[in-house]
Amino acid sequence: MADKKIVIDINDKGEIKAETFGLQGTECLIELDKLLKDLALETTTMKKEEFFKEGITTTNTVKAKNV
Amino acid sequence: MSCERRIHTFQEVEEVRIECCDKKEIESLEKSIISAIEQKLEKLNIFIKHCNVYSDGKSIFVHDRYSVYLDLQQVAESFGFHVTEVQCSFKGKNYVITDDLCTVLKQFDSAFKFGKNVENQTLTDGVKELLSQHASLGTIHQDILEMVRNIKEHGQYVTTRSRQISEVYEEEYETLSSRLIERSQGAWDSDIDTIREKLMQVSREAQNTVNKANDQLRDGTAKLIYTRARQLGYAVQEMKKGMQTQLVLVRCE
Repeated sequence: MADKKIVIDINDKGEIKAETFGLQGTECLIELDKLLKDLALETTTMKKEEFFKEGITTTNTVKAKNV
Repeated sequence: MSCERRIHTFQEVEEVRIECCDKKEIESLEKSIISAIEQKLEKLNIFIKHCNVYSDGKSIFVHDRYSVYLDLQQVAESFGFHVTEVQCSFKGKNYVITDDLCTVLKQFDSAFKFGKNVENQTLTDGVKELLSQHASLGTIHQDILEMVRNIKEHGQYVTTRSRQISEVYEEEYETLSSRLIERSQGAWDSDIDTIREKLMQVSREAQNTVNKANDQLRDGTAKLIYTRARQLGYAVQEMKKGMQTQLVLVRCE
């Protein structure tokens, strides 16, 4: 079971700083977009090492049974 | 040779400018407050974007037709708004929202229209009536309003001070000449100190209001993100760290 953690700092000037932990690839950007959508007028993104790690995806496969 | 002493008493009036709070400072505070209100409303509007919003320039009426925004009151209050839930003929949940910052602006004789940047419906007589019944608006102090108008008109607060002056002349009838032999003047009489104190208080309170507005903007934004995070299934911990708020979001998968 993997923990996804996001730490968000909001200061009194309205600046929002967010850092993600345990999210790989573009998943972190998608998650941050869901959380902070429309809240920021200007954004700066700093990609961490995890961003460049490939996320593992599995697809469901169906096999026909030999009769 | 005959002569006569004549005492001439008159009042000297002088214009005085009080510099502790000027037009520039008031305009700058006004601008900061308007910007804070608009930012707060825009952020709240992100949360209530599917609601019908009406504005009469002093308060807004939010009509949540399907009662889906259960955290609306909490989020709006975090932004420092006053929220009153209203029972009326409209379906769903209805709220009247006002802001104390508007009272400060009115005190500054500002023509700011609250809610005009978020309204998406044309104001009807029915809603107008509801707004006038339920909106909680602060009191405007006429004496401060007069002071602000004075500053806006002259750039600085302009008042007068006066003092009594007595001059003793010796007049000779034969030569028709007059000679000043004594001059005495009283102390200046004015309300300058009282006005200066009041102006400094107005300026201090307005500055505190601006700082408070920034805190409200931060707290409201934090509440908005908190609500979204909870909807996305995160466990959220909120912490205050000096001037900033930290949210720690954790989701196990």
